[in-house]
Amino acid sequence: MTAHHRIQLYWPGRTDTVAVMGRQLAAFLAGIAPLHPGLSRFLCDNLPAISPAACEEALVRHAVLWRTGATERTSYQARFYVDHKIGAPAAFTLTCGIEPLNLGPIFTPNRLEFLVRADVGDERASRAVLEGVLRRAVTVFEPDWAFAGSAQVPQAPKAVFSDGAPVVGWMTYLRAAFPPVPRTLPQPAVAYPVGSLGTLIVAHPEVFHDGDEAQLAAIERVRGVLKAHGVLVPPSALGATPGPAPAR
Amino acid sequence: MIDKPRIGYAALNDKARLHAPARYLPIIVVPGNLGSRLTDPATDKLAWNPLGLPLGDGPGAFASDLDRLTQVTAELVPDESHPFDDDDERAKKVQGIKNYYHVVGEFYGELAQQMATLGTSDTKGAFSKIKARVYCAGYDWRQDNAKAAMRLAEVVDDALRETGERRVILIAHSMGGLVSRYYCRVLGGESKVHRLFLVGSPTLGAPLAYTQLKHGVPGAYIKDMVQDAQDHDGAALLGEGIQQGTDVAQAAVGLGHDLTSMAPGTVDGGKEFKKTALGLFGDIYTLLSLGAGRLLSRKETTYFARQFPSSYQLLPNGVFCRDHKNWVIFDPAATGNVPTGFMIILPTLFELIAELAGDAFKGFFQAENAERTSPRATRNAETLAQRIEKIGLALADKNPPVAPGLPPRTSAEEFMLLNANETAAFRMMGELIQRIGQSFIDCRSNRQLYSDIYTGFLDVVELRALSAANLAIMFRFDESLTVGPRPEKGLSPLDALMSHLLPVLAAGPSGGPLGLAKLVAGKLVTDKKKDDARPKARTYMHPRTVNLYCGTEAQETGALLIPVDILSNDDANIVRWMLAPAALAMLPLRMIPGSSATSGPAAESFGDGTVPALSANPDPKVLSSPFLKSDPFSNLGHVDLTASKLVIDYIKSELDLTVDSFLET
Repeated sequence: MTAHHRIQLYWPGRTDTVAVMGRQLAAFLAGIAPLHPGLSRFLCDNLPAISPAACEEALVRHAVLWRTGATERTSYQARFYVDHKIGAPAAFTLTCGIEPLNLGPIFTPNRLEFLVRADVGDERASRAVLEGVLRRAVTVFEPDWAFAGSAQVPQAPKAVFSDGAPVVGWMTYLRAAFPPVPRTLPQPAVAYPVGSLGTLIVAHPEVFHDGDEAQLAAIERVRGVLKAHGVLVPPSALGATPGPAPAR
Repeated sequence: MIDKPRIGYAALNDKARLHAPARYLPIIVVPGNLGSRLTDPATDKLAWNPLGLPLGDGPGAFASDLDRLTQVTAELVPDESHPFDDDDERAKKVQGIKNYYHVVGEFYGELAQQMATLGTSDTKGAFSKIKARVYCAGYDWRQDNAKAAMRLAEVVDDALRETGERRVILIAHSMGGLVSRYYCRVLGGESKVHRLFLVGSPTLGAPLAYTQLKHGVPGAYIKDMVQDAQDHDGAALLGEGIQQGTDVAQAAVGLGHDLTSMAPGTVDGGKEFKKTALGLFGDIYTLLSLGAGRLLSRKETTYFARQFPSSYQLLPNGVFCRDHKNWVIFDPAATGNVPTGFMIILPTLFELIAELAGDAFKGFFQAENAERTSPRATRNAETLAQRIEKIGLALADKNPPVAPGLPPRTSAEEFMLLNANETAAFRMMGELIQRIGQSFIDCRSNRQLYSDIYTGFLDVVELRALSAANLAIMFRFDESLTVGPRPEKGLSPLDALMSHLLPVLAAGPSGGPLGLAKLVAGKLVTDKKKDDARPKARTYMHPRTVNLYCGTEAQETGALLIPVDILSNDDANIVRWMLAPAALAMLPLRMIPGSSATSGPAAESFGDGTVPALSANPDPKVLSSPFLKSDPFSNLGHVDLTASKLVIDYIKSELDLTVDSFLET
């Protein structure tokens, strides 16, 4: 049973400063606020995250210090939520600040995980809002790929044993550098452009529930077609990755 | 054991009332090798947190402190002090799981969380009567597994005390299975364990453990390749690198040793690299290199692996070696003996011969099946090939097919006159042996083998001493899990080879050298039957074990995913449940409670009335299962087993059936 709708984005290591990341985060929050009133009051540690400065501070507060050999490194992983911290109707976790590492079989992308409770009881769990969130996130963070689904389906790639190839979900975004998506997708799947950035594939028109066999079958068909056309390749095979996304 | 009445009293408004106290099902997750997050108690610093940020979503920052990890004598403890400090939804989910942060969440988190829902959010079926309470039993995976078992004993006792129950459920992954079985067998835990689930557990040992002790952890040793390329034939070595699928090596040759200079490579290269890196330690090479901040040499990772007693305890055990005579027995006491035995990594010869007639023959020799080749292995293989050819000549000599009316010919002449196809068959056999030697790891006397493992680094005195001590620890450990007479030592190399080769030839066509070989084979098969009639050693298994493993990529991953053909006779109670193709098999091994083998020989009791006969399960159930619908394991690696929805659902359904018998305890 679907407990949460999930939107997940992955983008490769970048050398953005925390100020840039703060601006991106603020742009994302500003972008999703008009979609629904319930997406306009995100907090981090009970503090509102609205302005770029507040977002930057939130990230800094959630800095993670680590090292490779003697090299000290800093990444950030902060969680934002609306209304309440536990069991929030909507929440997201941003993991960023990871530099390009190129560790071969280890997948170390920056990432965004956005969750909306399935039982939230309002439009936040609608296709329009979920697709809107995904589109705005894609516009701001310019990921390599992204997907939407439930908390369980599809399974997110693990850090190890993954080459970072895209995972196909209810909605799947692929940036333009991927091999072209076939023009004809198996019914009822549809592909839309996301500006000039890439392509959004929606496998089934209705909001996804992971117990729905028809939807699962639709996703599987899309996956099969994309795989057959060689679309699902690791981003590392695509050549140059996009640079830091400007704040919008 | 806690002896507690199952009736409770409650006082309300000064009136005492009877009530049935809530029942709990204590479930303990025992992680495998490398599966516990470790902290240095002296400094409170994380020493092992391989999927901390930014590599995964695990709590705390990435840590792989190679220097600290190799100081084996200074113990590390499962980490409790570096969880996330927030109280987000995940923290809420896991707050009821005791010691959740002991284990690597990315591998065991899903399993623990799913188990924790039993009887709470999931109240269907039997779990309306009982709630699960989950414990994680982390341990210092570098140490003797006997030590880890003592730690597990503490966790079990804590769980029993806290829940007031009499028995626990153990779910053990990989090496955790060895820990659990030792706990049950030696530390008296058997009566406290209601069910033992083994998930991908090397009950008979893992051939890959040998690879690791001999050659270091699996990985692309670019640093070594660069050095070797400078010293020797650069093109050939680079070729080896490419053959291993490490196009990373291509990129790195000439680029220096800095880890961050490693190019991610092409799609195929990346996949191949991944395949190469998978194994007992998975991506451990990369993780260790990352922690050290530089690429490690093979010598360094070999040193790393040889430090740990637990690495030796993963070696194929005596029962395995007895039943597979091309494996020598790793017995330190035998080091002074004359060489008796040789070694080819399984599965090799038998399968290979069996596949001679099929198309699989060609695929078998393809690059992805290649293991490392040593000059010695090649020499030994060549020697064996010559021996095979000589045998063919000798056989032809004994039974010269002389045409009527013609003078007898010499054996050489006779051999030359043999049917061209048959000669080709012999040549192919010779080539076969040679290719095996090249395709797999080693083919050698066990004196050399011991020497390699015992004293592999002749220039490092301490390591030699440590390796010897660790082998001794391994031997004791193996003995403690072995029931019955001790396995004998191996055969001579030729006998061992022939014991595999000739039975196959015996089933072959009549006439010519193959037909003659058939005669000899018949004798050897008879000898083998005699050998089979002798009392066998067995591997101890808890009487209520459910063993889940899959043999998806046996040659690549070693026996941690135990392929079907290396199960010993001891595992006669295994329900062989094959998926098609046979290489993709999920084999549930279950020993049904109370299924004492009354017709078997008198044996010691397991403490609860059941008797560990050779086949402790006279009434095996074959699972009817959704697994058969498709090929669910094609992408499932060893470490993925515990996070697999299929495996978790299977354990859940098995527990559901178990609850009633648990409630009766």
